[in-house]
Amino acid sequence: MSQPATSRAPWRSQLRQSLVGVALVLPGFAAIALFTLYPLVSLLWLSLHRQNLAHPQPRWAGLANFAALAHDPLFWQVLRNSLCFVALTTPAAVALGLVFAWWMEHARPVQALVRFCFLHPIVLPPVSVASVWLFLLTPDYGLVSRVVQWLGGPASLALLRDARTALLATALVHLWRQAGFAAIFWLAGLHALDPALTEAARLDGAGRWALLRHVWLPQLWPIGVFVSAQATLSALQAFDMVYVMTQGGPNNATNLFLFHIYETQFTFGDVGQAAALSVVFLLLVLAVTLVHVVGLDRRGAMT
Amino acid sequence: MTDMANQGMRWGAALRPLTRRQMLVGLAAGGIAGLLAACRSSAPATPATSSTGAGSNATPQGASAAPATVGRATVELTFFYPVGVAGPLSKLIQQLVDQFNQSHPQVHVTASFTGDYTSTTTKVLTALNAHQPPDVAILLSTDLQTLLDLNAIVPIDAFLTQAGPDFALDDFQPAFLKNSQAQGKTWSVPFQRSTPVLYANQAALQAAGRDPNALPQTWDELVEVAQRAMQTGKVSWGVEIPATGSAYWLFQALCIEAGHDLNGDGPASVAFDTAASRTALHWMVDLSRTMRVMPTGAIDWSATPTDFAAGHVAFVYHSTGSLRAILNQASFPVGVGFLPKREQYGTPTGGGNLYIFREIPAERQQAAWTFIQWMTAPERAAQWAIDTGYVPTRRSALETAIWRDYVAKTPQARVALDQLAYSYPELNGHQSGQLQKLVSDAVQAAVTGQKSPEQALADAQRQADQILAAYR
Repeated sequence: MSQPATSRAPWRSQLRQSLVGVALVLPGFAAIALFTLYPLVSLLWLSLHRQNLAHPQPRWAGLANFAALAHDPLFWQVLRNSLCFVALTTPAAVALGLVFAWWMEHARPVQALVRFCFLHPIVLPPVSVASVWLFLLTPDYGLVSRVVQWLGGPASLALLRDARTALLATALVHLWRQAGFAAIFWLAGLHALDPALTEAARLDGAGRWALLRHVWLPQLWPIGVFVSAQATLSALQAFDMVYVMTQGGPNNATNLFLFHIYETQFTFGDVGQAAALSVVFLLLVLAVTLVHVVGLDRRGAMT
Repeated sequence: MTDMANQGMRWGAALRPLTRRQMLVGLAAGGIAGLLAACRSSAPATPATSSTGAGSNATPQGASAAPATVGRATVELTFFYPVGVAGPLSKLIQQLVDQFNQSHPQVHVTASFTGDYTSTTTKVLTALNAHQPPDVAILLSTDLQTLLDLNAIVPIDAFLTQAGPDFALDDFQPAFLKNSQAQGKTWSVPFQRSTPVLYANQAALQAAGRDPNALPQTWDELVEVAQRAMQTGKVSWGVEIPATGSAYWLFQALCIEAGHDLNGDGPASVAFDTAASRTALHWMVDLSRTMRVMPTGAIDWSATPTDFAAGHVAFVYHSTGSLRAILNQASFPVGVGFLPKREQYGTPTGGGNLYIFREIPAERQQAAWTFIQWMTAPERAAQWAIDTGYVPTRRSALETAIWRDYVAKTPQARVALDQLAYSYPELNGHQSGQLQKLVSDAVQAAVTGQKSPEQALADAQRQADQILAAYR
């Protein structure tokens, strides 16, 4: 630390400087405390209490809310739905994102058009996207149904009405948005590839596959981890799609974690149960993040 | 790193300490003031000078006060309302509210469209949690028990006494008032009330060789006509009974027709698993699986009027509140009839009532009552019914000239009114939202083939009993 020119009492000036530091940090900390720490603590507190329409005043319940979750078949169904949703969307979004990015990079004559096609879903508000897809997926006379009929498929295609296909349909709509989003980051990664390394490998006689496997992928690895983490978290947090398109139905086939929390808290007024669900959700997100952080560290091992 | 630190230090030294501190204090104070303002925004900032007790004929006061711009504070009201049927109803509500505001200078109502019924209830519950309820809201008539459990609303008995003969409660349809009364008091005023009705594509009926004015009276007849209409190729489907949105509501009608209501004895019991409900659910499943007159899967509530108006289906079950939109959109003559019977005719009533909230100052409750009185006046009740298809909520509305003219031209509008004679209160009770979802889930599980009707209904009954155990 540099000394001030007039050092009457060095400790005073130091104290003053650290006070200034504290004062500068304080607004930020206050915001975090107010909007992150306080809700978190109050969430934990609520999850240990019973508070619902039958018992408007919170009462200590220990782990009863969590025990109730364990015995609730709907909770397990919702968890399964959410994990299926992740499995259906994340790997595909990551892979398609890379393909799209590659395409955007190399579709020379029509680059602008390709970019527009892949990126415009991201700038559209999710609720509009869901509404438009709801319209497209209308059975009998919706666009998707018409195209399928024209191709010789079944006369009545009702993806959202059927409990077996509704989750798949919402996942496809989510993927339609998510892949373009992933492509942005992949594109940045492609731009950051070091041409010197590529050239060196070529001089050493590396083929296309070897180039991809040993030169490009190791460089893209951190981007990949990030894209995968982002896609997983966004799939876990999917809400708008099901809210607009299915309201979690038919018979909870598309009831995803966040929608279930929302419904438990706001529609059914079960504060304690919703808090317990949120704690479980928090742990789930934390686990996903940890896996990806570990994945990021493995980068050294790959290169 | 050190470069940046030095830079920062220099920037810091350029600001004199006092200024910096002042700036921080200013920022903090501004932020806190902002937060406080946000928290307190619902508290009445105006001194209590208004006198809105004069009720609906308060215009002379307003007129005389108009030149003087000083004094006479306005009472600000927030009004939440849902739209649960097809058509541009939010525009109509906004027009009504604008008219009210113009004729009542002392009260200013801000109407807030809050989605469908479920999301409106959701928003109200959230606002109640934050102790910032709206002043007045349209909520399902079946939300009464939930609102009572939360101690959220005020009874209107005192206002009724005060209004005297100007506002006679017994002028309202008794079938609608059933959902307003509990604990010996009256808690809400019927506003947009409905029953489900059967909509028929008369062109398809004619093509099938039927008298287009003789709508099916029984379940079996409905299936027969639906099959014949499909054979003509004029429609893709015979009938649609939606299984999302208000699915429980239509299913309740089927249950009543089969002989037993879904409501139990009192607000802490339900009768989901009865011989009648099993018959009803089996029929719904059979319509698509064995009789093949209905599309398979969970048919979407809000898409059903569109399907019908587009001429894709011969018959649909939907709210009478969708009548206006369907008449406007359909390019063929539309017949409206009672829901076909099995053992008996039967239907639940449905729709929303106006509620006044407890956690607001008395003067705002009073202003809210003025607003409710105005909104439900006979002429307006008649006009609202004409504009939407909802049932006129009070008998004097039926005597108005506009309603008589309308029914003479549009006899379809009378059907729901006549059907009230066979009506039951909509499925209600403690945690009514959750109970209704259980029934809708059971219907969806059965029509999508995930569970047998017996299994689905038994599960729903068991889960409902678990929920209601807290209230017994």
